This record gives sequence, structure tokens and C-alpha cells, in this order.
Amino acid sequence: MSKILVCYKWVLDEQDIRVNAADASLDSSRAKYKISDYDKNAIEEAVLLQEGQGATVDAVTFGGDAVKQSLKDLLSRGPDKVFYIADPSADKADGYVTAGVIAAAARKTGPYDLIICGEGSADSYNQQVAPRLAANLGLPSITYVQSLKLEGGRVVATRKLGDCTEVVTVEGPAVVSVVPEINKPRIPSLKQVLAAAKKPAEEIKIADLGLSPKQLTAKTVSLTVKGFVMNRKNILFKEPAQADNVAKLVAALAKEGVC
Amino acid sequence: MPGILIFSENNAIALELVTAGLGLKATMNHSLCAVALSEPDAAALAAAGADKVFLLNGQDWPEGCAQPIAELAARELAAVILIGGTARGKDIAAKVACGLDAGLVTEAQTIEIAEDKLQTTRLKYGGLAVACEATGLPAVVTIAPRTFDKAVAGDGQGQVIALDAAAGDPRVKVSDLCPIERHGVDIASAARVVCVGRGLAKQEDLALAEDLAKALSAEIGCTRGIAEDYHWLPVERYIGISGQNIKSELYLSLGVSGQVQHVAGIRDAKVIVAVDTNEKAPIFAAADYGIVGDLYEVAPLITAALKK
Amino acid sequence: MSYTLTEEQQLIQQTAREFAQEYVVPSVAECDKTGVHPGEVVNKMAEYDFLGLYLPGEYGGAEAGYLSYILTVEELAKVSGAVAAILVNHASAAAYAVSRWGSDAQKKSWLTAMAKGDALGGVAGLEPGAAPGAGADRVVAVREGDTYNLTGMKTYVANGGAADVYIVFAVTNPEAGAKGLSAFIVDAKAAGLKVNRLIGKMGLRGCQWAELVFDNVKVPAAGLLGGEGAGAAMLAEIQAVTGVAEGAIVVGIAQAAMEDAAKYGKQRIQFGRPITSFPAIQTMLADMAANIHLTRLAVYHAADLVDKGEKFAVEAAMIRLFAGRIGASALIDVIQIEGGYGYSEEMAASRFYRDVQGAILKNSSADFPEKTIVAEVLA
Repeated sequence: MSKILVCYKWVLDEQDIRVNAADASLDSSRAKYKISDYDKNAIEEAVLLQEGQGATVDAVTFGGDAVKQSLKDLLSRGPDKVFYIADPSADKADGYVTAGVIAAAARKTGPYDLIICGEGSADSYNQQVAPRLAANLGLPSITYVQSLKLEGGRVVATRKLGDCTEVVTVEGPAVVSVVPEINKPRIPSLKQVLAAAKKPAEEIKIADLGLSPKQLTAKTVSLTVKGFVMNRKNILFKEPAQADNVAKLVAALAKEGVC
Repeated sequence: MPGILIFSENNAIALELVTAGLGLKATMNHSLCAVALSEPDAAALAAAGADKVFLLNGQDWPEGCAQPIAELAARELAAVILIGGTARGKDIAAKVACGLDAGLVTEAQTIEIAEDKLQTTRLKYGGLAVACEATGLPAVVTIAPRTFDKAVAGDGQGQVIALDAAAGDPRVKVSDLCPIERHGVDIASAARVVCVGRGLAKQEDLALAEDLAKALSAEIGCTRGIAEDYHWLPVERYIGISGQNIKSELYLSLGVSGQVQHVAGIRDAKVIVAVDTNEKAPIFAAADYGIVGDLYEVAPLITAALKK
Repeated sequence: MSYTLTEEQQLIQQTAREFAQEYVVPSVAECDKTGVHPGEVVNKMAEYDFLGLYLPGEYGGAEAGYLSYILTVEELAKVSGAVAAILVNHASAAAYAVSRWGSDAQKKSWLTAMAKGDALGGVAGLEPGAAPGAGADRVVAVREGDTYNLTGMKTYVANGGAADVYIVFAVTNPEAGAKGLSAFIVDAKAAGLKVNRLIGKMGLRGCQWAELVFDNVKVPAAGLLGGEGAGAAMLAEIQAVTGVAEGAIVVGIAQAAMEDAAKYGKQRIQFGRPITSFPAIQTMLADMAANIHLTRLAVYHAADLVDKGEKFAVEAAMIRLFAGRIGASALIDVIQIEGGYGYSEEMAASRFYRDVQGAILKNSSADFPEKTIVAEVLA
């Protein structure tokens, strides 16, 4: 039976992050965490393979202490087991560190026939962990996958690349990143939520991964993060008759030279 | 001399990177090298201002170039490697960064050298925020298409050096390359865009938007939900952080609420117009002009007014 | 005693919220307009284990506890009071009765079907002109050998016309007054059982009410639930356990309405500032927030008592008394805050207003939660 690893990130829900108008600073005090939306596609794809042809699905995540809240949520979506690396240093990790940590964890818990990632994370969307992970593990990577098959030890994937698609076939194992259109992640049923409590979650200490201080030091350091402030005219036409509003709009567009 | 190396499998984008690279060259005072996959491309890059162009032969799959590019960057002591931010480019960039044991900044909007580090800005949280980051050198950066203007061909005398790429990974086989058929022009480069959202009740009603688009000579775009959940329009037409980013002179939305991920894709539009029933919809905060109303009433009125 | 939800309960809440957004929201307007039972939504609820969430695992339920179930009712009610009411009439009323008083055989057949969602349940307790359980019922069940023969009419039967099985209360001993009332499990397809008409209502449209006519409906003796004469006590307990869930419906509707009003009020500019900056509006919002919070605590507490197998009749009566009041008053204020916008037919506020009025109904002259409460006070 195939063994699949799916990677996910536990991120702040950007819908609940507010930009303070005064200084463009971010207020995330009301923001809750969620499984990164793109990773839900990765999880769903792993579970579809599990249902379709029988496979064991492990999941792995690297994050701050908050990742412990993600475990039941993750397990309710179908994976059999979750490994988590909870360490405060994750807040400063970039793609380089994250891929190194996940690769080290996968070496411990693997080997896997297939490793699936989302195309990027919902918060920083760097889109580099999957190919870096592949390079770290010495495996081929197939990024931006829109359909995926496991045929024996072979991974067959159709990639979606802006202006074309192509089929990449890898003689086992491989790391893939999937695009959102590959599937529609299901909402777990309530029995799946309850069953999650009975599935195993295992912590891996970062110190046990055998990584050097250099490997745990980010190459990219965040200097500032500011809310994007949209400066627009914000003119609302509010005449009682829509025909009047439309006339005003068309006049304004003509003045702007765009109609 | 540690310098700048640029690459894109799409030469139009590579020429944009020349502009970015020349900007860096001005402050770094180092040479600008490029990697090209064909002779005409190499010549164009040299003419546009690349000091040295490496012509990589024998590799059909652009992703297979990652290793030779990494080796080249190491050999040439490149400090900054700029790669065009296509899907292929982002894949190659990650592998090059791994090969160099370097940091990678994805889709940087601005790049400069400060205090011996590469300082970049990029979007975060679905476009809600802008992060300024510093990456130690060497650093790999991807740059989205159309971030910089194309460098124009000048009298550049850059040298072209042919290189043989190593054989590809025997475990990987690539086949069935198939262009995606686009219905209409590329929305990302359209001059005007009419965008539909979930305010549209059914697929047949797209006709309303099409009429308006025709009157405006605009292309039809949509929100992610319309393309990915309803499949009413091809995914190439959805606008947003993970879809198309438009830079049109006009963007007019019908029944779009304006989630941050969508708004991130329209912020470079010159004029933004919104029509939606919900006065509280965030799209109005992102708009220059707005009409609160039913798109079924307002869109035909706009179409009629434009035809006059 | 813990006042915080477990991680599992929070996840159930989140899942119910996602479910409601994905599968309930699209049908809300249509359901409110037509008043027709949203069968597809109910099928989805079955698929996602909502219908048997707190029922025993032995009979196909998920055995997650009454409190977890209450959380799903609250989340569904935020989106659709009608859908929440369909669930409550099935799970808290009909399925509860079979689970609580059914024989093993009855549970194996009916409870399993109800927990899995193969059979939707409804309770037929009310009659025109009769106070339920007060001894004036006229639906009679006459025993003839191995069957009971049911005749008469029941009204305001929730899930009527949509349910697959009804718990029917009928008089088996006309001389015994309230003690002559018994409950029967009746297959909706039983010969002689007819939906006379659906009753249009002000709110909770989609949770159908029907008049059921029993024209010599033959129910096998094995369909008698909990013994002859036990009906009145059963009705009282069903009303109590359902009352807890109805409290959750009020909490859900009022919470959603308050959030809608707050969102509207922040955007609505009068005299140059948002109306939420005016003390009169702030007082309304503060009152409803406090009332909703306190009612929610009472509902969770009562649900916890149900889970622990302790008495909950008095607490349930308090919820019925208090939640009914605060729901109605919160929605009056919400409509005040939203003005013409909220009063418009297509806006959520006006639907919330109509729905909350029906979430807790005092069905007859015999139904005084005050009576239960004061009996405890004076005991």
C-alpha cells in the first residue's frame, strides 16, 4: 500500500486581520488560525488517493505553539496520523528553514511514495517549500499539479503552467504541489470530527531532527509588514433613480478617458 | 566579479528582468549576466544590455535548467539571481536557491541592495499587507510578469557564450505539452475589464456582462468563485492574488463583494468601478466610483448609456 | 464544572458553521419564500451526521452529547431558523422519545433509521381545541387484538408531510384523563394516515406544519411507546428537552441578527457619524449582547445536565420563559437599528424577526413554564 505524506501550515485567517487606518499597522488580535486554504486541496487530494486505491496518509506541520490546535481539525479531514513540530522559532522561518525541517521530519517518519503540498501558503504564499523539499530529499518535484495519479510506484501528474499544460511522469517517489482547482476540499462530517480524537498525533522535537544552527537560520528576514492602503476616490452615486447614477458614472468615466 | 544573473524561459519576461537587472547594476556596479534558451533570445538580451549571455543548449524542459543555472551562478559568483515569476520560473527559482543554499524571495515588487543585503517588498496575507524583507547574498528572486517594463534593444555588445546543459533527471519524463486555449485575449493584459461575481444569479445572465463588455471594448473577468466553484468561466479569467493580476485602465465589477484576495488582483487598475447591491461590500472601499444597486438593473443602463 | 467548550466541541461548532455556509445558505431565501421542506438540505445534514449527533452509537448515532448537538443547532439557526427547527423537531422531539422510551426492537428499527437520517421524525401532539396532555385529546387508539386502531386529527405537527415517522399521542383510556394518554410510533406511510393540509406560517417557513388525519390507522401493538398511559409525562419531558434546543435556536437567530445590525450600524451614517456612535443604539446592542450571552450560558448548562443524566425540567422551563422574551426584544431592536433596510422583505433582519417569534411557542393554555419554575421555588 502506498504511503503518502501531506504537508500543511496553520495560518492566521487573513479575513480577520484589520489594517489600522492611522499607521497602516496590522491588528491580528481578533484573527483565528485555520489550515491554509491551499493546503486543504493537498489534504483532499491525499485523501482522494487513499479512498481511491488504498494508501496510508500521514500529515506533517511545522509552526509555533499554536499548531497544536490544528491537529484535530487536520485529522478530521481524513489523514491517518499527524506529526507536528511546534517551536517558537517557526515564526521567523522562511521557505529555506521550513523545507529543511519538513525534509528532516519526513526522513524520520518516511519513506513516502508521494509527498503532497499546496501551491503556497495562504499567509506568505512563497510557493517554494514543495520544490525545496524535493531538492532536500533528492526527489523530483512536480509543481502546480491540476490532476494526479499514482500508478504503482509511478506518479503521473498534469501540471498547469499559465499558458499550457503538460504531463510529468516520475518513477516513484516524488514531491508535488497542487493548484486549488485540482479538487474541492470537503467539509468533514461530524463523525469524522469525533473520530479525529482517536487518531494519533505525534510531536517531533526540532532538536531531534539533527539540523545545524545554520539550517535553522532564515535566509530572508522580515523587516516590516504594513497594511496595504488603497487610495481610491470612493465616490458613490446615490441618486434615487439608477438612470441618473449611470449618467453620472458614464460622465465620470469619459472624463477619466476610459470609455 | 559577483554580479547579477537573470533568467526566464519566456524572453519577453527576460527583457523585463534586464530592466530590473540594469537598475541593480547601477547600484551594485557589477556585471549583468543572462541565461537564454535560444540564439535569437540570447541576441535580444545582449542587445538590450546584458553584459554576458549564456546560451544553454540541449535542455527541452525549462525546469531541467535549474541545475545548470545554479552551477553557472556559483561559478560566476552571482549575488542576485532574478527569475521570471511564471509557474515554471518559480519552480526553477526554488531549485536554483536550493542548489546555491540561498534564500528565495517570491514575486518581489521592488528590489534594491541595502547594507549588503537584498531588500525586497512583496505582498502578504492575500494582498492585505506589504512585507519588506532582507535576504543575505546570494539571493534568488522571482519577479512577476509586467512588474518592470521591457528593456529596449540598444547597441549592447554583450558576449554570447554557448553552454551544454547536463542531461535531465532520468526519473522524470515530460509529455503531452498542450497549450491552454484562451477564449478571448489574455485578461492580465486587457485594457479594460468587466468582472462578474456571485451577484450573478445564473450562468445565462453572463450575457448582461458580455453586452456591457462589448460596449466598453472590455474583456470579461470573474472572481474565483465563479470560475472554480461554479465553472461559469474558465479559470484563466479569474482575478485575484492566486489568479490574474490586471493592470487595465478600467475595471468595472458587477456583483463582486471584494474579498482581499480579489482586490489584490485589481489594485493596479487605473480606474475601479463597482456595482453591487450591498452598500457594505468591501469592493466599494476599493473603488473610485460605485453604484449601489442591482446589477440586473444597472448593467443594461450602463450599456445603453455607452451606446449613445 | 467547566464553562469552556472542549477542542472537539469547538471543531464541531466550526464544522457546523462551514456546513451551514456551504449547504444551507443557498436555500434560505427560496425556503422562506415557498415554505416548502428543504429536502436536499436535510439529506445533506443526514450525510454529515447532524441528525443523529447526540444519539447512541449502538443505534447509528454519533454519541457526541447533547451539548455538542446544541452547538450545531445554534450554528444552523444563525443561517436558517427553519433548518434548525427541522433538526430540533426530529432529534430533540421524535428521536429523543424513541431513544428514551423505546424497546430494543423499536430502537433497532426506528432509532437507527432516525439516527442515520434515513427517517425524519416528527411529533404529533397537538389537537384543535385540546391542551396536550391535559386529558382533552380526541385522537383515540382502540386496541383490537395485536393492533391499535387510531382515529382523529392532530394539528401543528412540525415536519408534518416531510417526516417518515411520527410519534403520535393518542388516548387509550378516555376515562383516565391525562393518565389515559399513550404514545405510538407510526410510519408516515401507514394506511389511513393522511396529511390533510399544510399550515402556512409567519416564520420558520420551510419547517412545515401540517394537519394529520388518522382514519382507522392500524398500528401494531409493538408500536406502543413506553406503555399505556405514559403519554402525558413523556410529552412534558419532550417539551423540556426540546425547550433547551429551542433556546439554542433563539440564541443563534439573535446572535446573527445582532451581528447584522452592528455591521449595518457601523456603515450607516447619520448627522455625519455612524449610528453606532449614538448612545441609544449602543444601549440596544449592549442589552442584546448581554441577554444573548446569558441565555447561551443557560442553554449550555441545561444541555450539560441532559448529558449528565440529571434533572433539567426547571432549567428548561427557565430557558423557555427567558429566551422567548429576549429573542423577541432583540429583534425589535435590530429592526429599529436597521430601519427601512431591515424591514425590507428580502433582508435577513425581517426574516430573523419572523423566525424568532416562532422559535419558542407556548402552545396552549396548559403550557406555562412559570408553573414548573414556581413549583420549584415554592417546594
